[in-house]
Amino acid sequence: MNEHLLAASGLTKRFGGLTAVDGVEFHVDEGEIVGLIGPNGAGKTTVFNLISRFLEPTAGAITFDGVDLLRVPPHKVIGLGIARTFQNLGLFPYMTVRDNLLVGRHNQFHGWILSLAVGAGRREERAAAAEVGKMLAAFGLGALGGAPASMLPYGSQKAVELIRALMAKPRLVLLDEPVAGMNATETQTMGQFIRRVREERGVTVLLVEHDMSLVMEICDRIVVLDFGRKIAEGTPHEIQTNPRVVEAYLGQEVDRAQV
Amino acid sequence: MKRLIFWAVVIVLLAMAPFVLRSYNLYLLNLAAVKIIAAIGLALLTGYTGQLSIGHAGFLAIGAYGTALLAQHFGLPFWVGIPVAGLISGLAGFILLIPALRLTAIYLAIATLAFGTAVAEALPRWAAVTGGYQGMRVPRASFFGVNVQNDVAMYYLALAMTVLLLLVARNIVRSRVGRAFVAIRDKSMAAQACGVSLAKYKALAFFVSALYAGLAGGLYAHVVGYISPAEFGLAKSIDLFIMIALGGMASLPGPVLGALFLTYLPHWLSGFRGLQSIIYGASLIGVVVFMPFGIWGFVRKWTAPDKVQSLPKPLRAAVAFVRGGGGA
Repeated sequence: MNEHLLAASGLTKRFGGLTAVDGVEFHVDEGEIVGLIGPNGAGKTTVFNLISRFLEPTAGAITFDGVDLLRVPPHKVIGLGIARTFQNLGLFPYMTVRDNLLVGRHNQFHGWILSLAVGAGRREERAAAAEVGKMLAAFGLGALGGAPASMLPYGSQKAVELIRALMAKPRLVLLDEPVAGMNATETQTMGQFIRRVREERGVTVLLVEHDMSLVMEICDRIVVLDFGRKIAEGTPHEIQTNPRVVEAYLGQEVDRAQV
Repeated sequence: MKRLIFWAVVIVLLAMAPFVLRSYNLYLLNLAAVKIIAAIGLALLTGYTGQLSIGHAGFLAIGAYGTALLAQHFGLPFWVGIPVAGLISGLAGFILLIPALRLTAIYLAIATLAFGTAVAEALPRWAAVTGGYQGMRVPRASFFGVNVQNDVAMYYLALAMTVLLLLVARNIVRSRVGRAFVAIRDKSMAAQACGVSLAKYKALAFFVSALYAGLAGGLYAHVVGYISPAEFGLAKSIDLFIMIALGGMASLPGPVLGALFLTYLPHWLSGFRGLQSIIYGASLIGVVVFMPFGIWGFVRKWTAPDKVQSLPKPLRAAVAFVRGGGGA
């Protein structure tokens, strides 16, 4: 059990009468890129919000590197090494790109409020700004640091949000639909970007995505949810040929002879 | 460097004001300083952190009465009394944290309104301590035995406090704390995912904001020398809100400009007898309609057009609220 980086077992979330996540069991190993897919309403984002601790599960357990995640408040999840992005962009729109990334490494600032008030902590700020600059440059976004986040094109905003998630030096990033609304070229770029994150920084990735071309291309393993239940798990090839998955996405084939 | 020289010149000019201005003008500047300090505090809470408050006069009252009572009963000099009263006000700010952790936007505003009203109602009824409706005289300020209860001395006190508190606010805004404030305002879930504790930073925002209002109240008590409950009612809270909305609430120059505007406009208009409130109201509407990002936003539009963005969503609601409900 403990060799898994992230492990969920019997994970269940009910909203009143609706069971959004129903006894889901899955795991992510260090260094993997795992895709969490399923039709709309399958419970994927709910799973993310359970891991991020924005939601309290009705039943089940989640562990991260052996630590019981359910004992951790939402703002401490990142301290354990789990960062995330959001489906509808989690950037702070009225901050510059640079400030967004600085919030991403919020936990690494140590200045005390009273010393900050008298203007100490400038050296820390400078070091942080340099780090942010380096990070932006590494991903070819060096020129954008001073721009307000909301003024960037959508694709760049998605990229900046992923970079922000990396600022905390996480071991695992949760990406909620990283290429939603992107065209084919942008999707390709983002796919390479996600791979780079794993290859160069050794960050494990769990992603929710509807774009099957991306999922099939970059994921090592895929977990499929439908109506809150796990219906399949396997390599991209296994998933593509799994009849239950095809059924969930396309519906059951009707035998005309029986109609 | 250029900036440094600019500010040095501004400070020197301000420091020389008592040599050229008449006592009444100094008194007006002192009142402006009180408003500036309180408005900066409110801007940190509402403009930066997105927590609407229309009960801030309550904190002004705690600071003002606190200072007066500390001087009266414990003989504390003003330079101890004002900070201590400010601190008491800051701690009282935690009261508003209780609703702030559950409510947002207009619902939080209603809770803060309740707080402001409660303080305003308590003051006259607690007559044994506060002197009731008649109010109370503030013991004269003295500095090691020297009487400094005059407009010139108060001017230097007001100037020092304003400059100091502006610098502190600037330092806060530029640090991780200020970024956490804005992150909470713009996207609280993403802020948490980045490691920002909502409880901790909202608490900090309310504390700092109430501290500023309390310090402003303490200064006010010594500037006017006499305080009564009528000065700390709902109208004062709304005035403060209008100041930051007019000036540009997610900035520091904004509340300063807003406070100056609201200090001097009624004063300049005093000549237009009868038309006073009409012109006053019309100019407020004019600013809000033609400068949707406040006076400072308007200035920035010309001086740094690339850096101007539209008003953050929670604040748009706040401005709409002020336009609709708080025009009085």
